[in-house]
Amino acid sequence: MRVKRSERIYRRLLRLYPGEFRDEYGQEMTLLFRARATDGLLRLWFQVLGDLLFHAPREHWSAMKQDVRYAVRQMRRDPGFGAAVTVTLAVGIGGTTAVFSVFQAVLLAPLPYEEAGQLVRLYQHEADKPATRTYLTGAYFSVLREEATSFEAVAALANYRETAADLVIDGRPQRIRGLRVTSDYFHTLRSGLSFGSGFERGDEMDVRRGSSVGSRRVVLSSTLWRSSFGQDPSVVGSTIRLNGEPYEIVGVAPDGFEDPVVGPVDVWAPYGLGRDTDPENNSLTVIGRLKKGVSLEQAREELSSLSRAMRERWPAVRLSAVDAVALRDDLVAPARGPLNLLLIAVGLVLLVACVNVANLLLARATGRIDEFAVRQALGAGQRRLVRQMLVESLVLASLGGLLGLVLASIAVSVLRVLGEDAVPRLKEVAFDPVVLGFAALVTVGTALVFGSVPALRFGYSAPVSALRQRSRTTGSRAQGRLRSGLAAVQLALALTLLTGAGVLLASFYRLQQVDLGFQVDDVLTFEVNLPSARYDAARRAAFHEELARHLRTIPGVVAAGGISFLPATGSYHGWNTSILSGPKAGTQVTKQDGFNIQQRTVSGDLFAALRIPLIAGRTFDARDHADAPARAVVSANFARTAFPAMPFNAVVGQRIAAGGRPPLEIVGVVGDVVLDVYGTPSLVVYHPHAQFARDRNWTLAQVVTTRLAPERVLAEVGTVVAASDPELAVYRAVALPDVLGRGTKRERFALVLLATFAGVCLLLATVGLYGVLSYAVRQRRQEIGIRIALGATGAHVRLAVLRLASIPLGAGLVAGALGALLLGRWLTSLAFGISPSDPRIVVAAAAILTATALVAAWLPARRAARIEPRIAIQEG
Amino acid sequence: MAPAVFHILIALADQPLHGYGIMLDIAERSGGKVKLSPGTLYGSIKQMLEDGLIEEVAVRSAADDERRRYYRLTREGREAARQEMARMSALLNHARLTSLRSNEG
Repeated sequence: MRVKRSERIYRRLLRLYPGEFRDEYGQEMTLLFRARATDGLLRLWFQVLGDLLFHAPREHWSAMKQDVRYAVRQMRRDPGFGAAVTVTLAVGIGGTTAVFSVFQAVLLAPLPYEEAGQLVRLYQHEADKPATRTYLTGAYFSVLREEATSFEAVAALANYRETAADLVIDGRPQRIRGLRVTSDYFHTLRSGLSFGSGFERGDEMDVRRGSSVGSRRVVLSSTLWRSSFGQDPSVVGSTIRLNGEPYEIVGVAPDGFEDPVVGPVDVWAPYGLGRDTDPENNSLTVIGRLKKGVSLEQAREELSSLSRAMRERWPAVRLSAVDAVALRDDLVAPARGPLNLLLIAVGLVLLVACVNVANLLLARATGRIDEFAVRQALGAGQRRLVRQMLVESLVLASLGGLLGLVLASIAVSVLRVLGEDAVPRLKEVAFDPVVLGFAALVTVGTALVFGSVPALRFGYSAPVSALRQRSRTTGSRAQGRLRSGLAAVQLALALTLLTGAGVLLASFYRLQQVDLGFQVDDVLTFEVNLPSARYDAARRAAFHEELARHLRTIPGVVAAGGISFLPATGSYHGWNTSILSGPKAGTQVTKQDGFNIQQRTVSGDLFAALRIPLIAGRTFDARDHADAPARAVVSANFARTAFPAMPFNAVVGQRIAAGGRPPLEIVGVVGDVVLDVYGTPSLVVYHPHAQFARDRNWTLAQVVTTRLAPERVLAEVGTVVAASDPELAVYRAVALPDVLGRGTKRERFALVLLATFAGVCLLLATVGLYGVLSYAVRQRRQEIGIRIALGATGAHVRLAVLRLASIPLGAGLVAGALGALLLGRWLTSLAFGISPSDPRIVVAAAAILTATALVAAWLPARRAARIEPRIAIQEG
Repeated sequence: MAPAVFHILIALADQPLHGYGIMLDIAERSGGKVKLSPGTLYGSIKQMLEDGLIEEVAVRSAADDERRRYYRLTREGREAARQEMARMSALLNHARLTSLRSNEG
């Protein structure tokens, strides 16, 4: 009884050996086991367990080695085939790995801070209207910091502010990036300073009334500490001059530390929260760190109950709700759509590559039917043959994977350049173990996908039928159908990607066609920062007007002016504006009513420089000096909104109030400019810098319009600036089209990549179709020969071959159009002015695919028509 | 040469045997001390077949279970066994010339 059971167990354990070995010796081993069982089961089991531990793996290894050796020999015999497969797979695997490495670094990897999963960003929005979400007010921030118990720490960043500052060391000025933050900033990010004690709560009391400047203390970035302070730890406690004012160094940030929202920063200074009590000035970016064990949901619940309390405290505040989102999700949100799309697209490319290789293997397997049949007749089991084929696939895929890694590393450096300004966190992209693991997984998966087709097709057919297949056409017909089906799959995927690329191309074209309301060509922009210590309000006002006059004297310059924030680059200073006269007198134009109300401070001939047309009245000139009555120029949209049904001429002379200035008289109405590159309309109030210089030290973007290429006047611009003050630096000089181009970088990035993928797919699909038709023509040489002998003309034969192509093409077109509809889901966030399933695009893509497919079909068709009947029939 | 392989070569030196027969033969010659496990036995047989030291024989006695296959030495197998024998006896001769021979050591 015990012997019987032991034997049963032994038989089952024999499954640990490779199939062939078991087939060959399993029965005899069982017999031997039974015979040996009589002289002591214990000793026998002891031996048998040793067998299973050592001999079974060895048998597997030796079988595998043999298969690999065999595969390599096969490849040597046909190096062209091996190369074609390797390159095709390398393109698919390499592309997928490259896109995944970006995907993983941007969307999946945690932010580079300790316990980064606890970091959240806070927003304020109207109750039940999450879409209105915006920055926090200082008042709300203060309450949250005191009362919310879900957070270990919260910090506010005043990143809306002009952040550049002049740092003068040894009389040499340099422009650096500063960021004002509240005292718990480094603690929230858990980034302990390398040196120094950092900021304290007391630093948040503002020094100057009406400004948000806190104590004059700074923390240096390690980069600045290295480059300008010689890595001297004793700088802590010493004083530097920023914009001419003394600041005490209170710390050095750790190596490589960057702000999660604004990126690299040179110095951090305290934000003067103390006086920022206006509950309606939404201007602070707020980040928080959840307490350990507190979930995002719990924090959001607490915030919503706190919101209710604050609504009672400030009943007039409309943006009364506070919400939290994971900081990483918030930062990478703009890239999520494009990256999802690209990962899907590159996955399709990989699939097409797999199908191509499967097709190649099928074609070759046909040539190897003899070999398989003979080996099978000699006793090689089916399992053995299937495994043999899969191992061959694995060897091919591994070569493809290795080459793919090389391609991927090249592709990643290309992506880094392409994606600059388009995708956040791109610097963090690296070939880490996760990416390598992914590549390995893709390689094995690929081998299984393309290897299983021929393995299933040939591995499991009896030898006799395989030999019969060779001699009869039925088998090859079946195979022809299979290959034709695979070609249809490729064509469908190519159409899907072509349509996607078409949608992005059309969107991008439309983006370029957006009427901005001003001219961008031949315009150079730059900034000049005036140190407050040497330039008071009057001198700043005079400087900017003089600078514009001097710039105009440069040969080739048409007009010059300055503006506090360039149009079409986003929202800035969306202050409410009161209407003091006219039918709507006593009301306000506010952002909360859905108006993109914007304020701009301008100097020189700004309107002429940007070629914004004057519609009524006049623009600013010398009459609008600091002591003159307060004046403003408004955009047509603003005039229409604030003074409905009034002619523009009548708007001139009306009165409004904004920006804490005395009541303003409107002296002119100018054309509308857009808020962003997507053509979002805006309402603009322009203030003359000469009258507004006292409010703050404005950093004005200087705009110079030239008759020459903008770069050609750059040197002269430097000379002009240096002539008025040798200590000033020309900062951020860029041609205006490049400034605006940044706004469409995301679209350009997605377009270039998707177009590349579509092109690769189209190429692979075309090659695939060509292969299928060539094969069909070869298989039917005799038949075609007979037909020609019986009087079929060349045109007939060509038509017959083209008809063969029409089946996969037709199927591919239908399936591809459906695929394009599915892909549309991921295109919506990138489509502009066009529906992702616009039939015109689908038709155009289908036309391209059909034309390419016809070219691929024409070559074999021509070859078929030239078959010499006598020779073809004799061959058979 | 692995001991199991030499054992099998010796077992097959004078007659073709099936796997079980080989195992019995080896056990008998060693006085029951060497009993090959199924894995060792058939693993070695497979390897020896591949190396061409032994081959399958078509002849089998009618009484035997038809599932059993018989093996015999090839010319290479016989040669390999001889070489191993020579090597071992040379080694033995060397050993006998030392003090290991006497019982006192």
